[in-house]
Amino acid sequence: MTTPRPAGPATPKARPADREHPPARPATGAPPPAGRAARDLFGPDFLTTLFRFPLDPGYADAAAARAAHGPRPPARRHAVRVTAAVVACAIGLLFAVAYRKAVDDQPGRARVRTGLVGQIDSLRTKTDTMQERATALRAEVARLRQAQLGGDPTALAANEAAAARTRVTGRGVTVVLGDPQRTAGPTGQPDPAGRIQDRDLRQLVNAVWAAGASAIEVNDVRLTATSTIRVAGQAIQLDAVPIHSPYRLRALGPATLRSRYLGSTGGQLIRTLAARYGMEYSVREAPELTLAAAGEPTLRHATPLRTTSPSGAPPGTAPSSDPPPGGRP
Amino acid sequence: MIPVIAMVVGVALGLIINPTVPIYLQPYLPIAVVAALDAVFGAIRARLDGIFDDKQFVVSFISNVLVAALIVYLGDQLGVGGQLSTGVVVVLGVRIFGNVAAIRRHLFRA
Repeated sequence: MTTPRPAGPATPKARPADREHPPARPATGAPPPAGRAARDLFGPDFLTTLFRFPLDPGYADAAAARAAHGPRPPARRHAVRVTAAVVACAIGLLFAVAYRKAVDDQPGRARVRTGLVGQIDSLRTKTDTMQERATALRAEVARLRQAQLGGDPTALAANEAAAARTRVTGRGVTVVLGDPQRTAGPTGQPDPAGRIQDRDLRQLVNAVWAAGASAIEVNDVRLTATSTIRVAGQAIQLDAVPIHSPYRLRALGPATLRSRYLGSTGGQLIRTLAARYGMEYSVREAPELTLAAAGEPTLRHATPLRTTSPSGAPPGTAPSSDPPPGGRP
Repeated sequence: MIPVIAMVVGVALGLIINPTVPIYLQPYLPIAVVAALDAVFGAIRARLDGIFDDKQFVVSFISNVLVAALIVYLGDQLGVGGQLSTGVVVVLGVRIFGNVAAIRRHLFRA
């Protein structure tokens, strides 16, 4: 801002304060009021001035200087013109860059999101196919083992049933426990206090076990002796599989299962909770239920059902050429 | 007229060569854009007023950008970068509005 200022005295003429334009109109030939514009700009009421004279007073000053001293020499004028063109070019470049960046950023986020959703979907599909394959392979292993062992597999079968390794069918009980539909306040949001928590679900499962159930499944996830019911964020996880309300528990057990469950302390607690928070809750007998096998457990410990001397078995007839750690009979 | 053509050329250049902004300059990009808008609208209005001056345009743009960047940088160092950015945007925004209003009066006599 080194625009030369006219040395002439500032005009003391008082003009109406509500005029729309900053003073200098070179065409009028009036004495250049540049000094006044600068003084107004930094007067006590800075914001009012800012609103009234948004134009940089430098333009008025420059125009006044031109009016006073005549135009710049041609060489200098040319240089200034080129500089202005370069600056204008730079401004255009700046706009383009900012536009490109804003446009690039937006779909970038959307792309990342879509990519993640796609990855989740494909991995889930992959997990499902692998699960199916694991089930098929497990069935094959069971068949081959049956063929190898011959004889009496009842002890093994009983153990497998107890460990939830096989699909089981029988009479049982269905319990449905759902988050309350009741809303709290005018927001229309479900009452968060009534949300079913992991410990409620644990209570229910333990009560059903205690009532004599032989096998339990919650939302199509079969429970074993080592299953976990935990909370992770908003969802309850059953053996690391997220499950959502309503929770459908299906249990196989003796004919007295329902009455024993309803009469137990745990059953009464669940009923009280459901009544107090308005949870969805029902306990029904089911004549025939089929529960899927649980997932493959991590084998940590095993004992042979029959003691066979190692020397008695021919080397080629070992049940598996690659025995799992801990060994199987 | 020449600055307008130059600016169009600049936009075209920017869209064609698509330069990447260094990461340390990215916080200043929005402020620079607002400062540039202020310079551009100021220039248009001065042009319509008949007092456009090339040198003034160059100086106003460069000083706008430098001062705005300096304020934002200082604010970042002091931990009030967001607030000072807002201040810069408000002041320049007010000027842009005023200049656009003057341009509107020039063009539409309303």
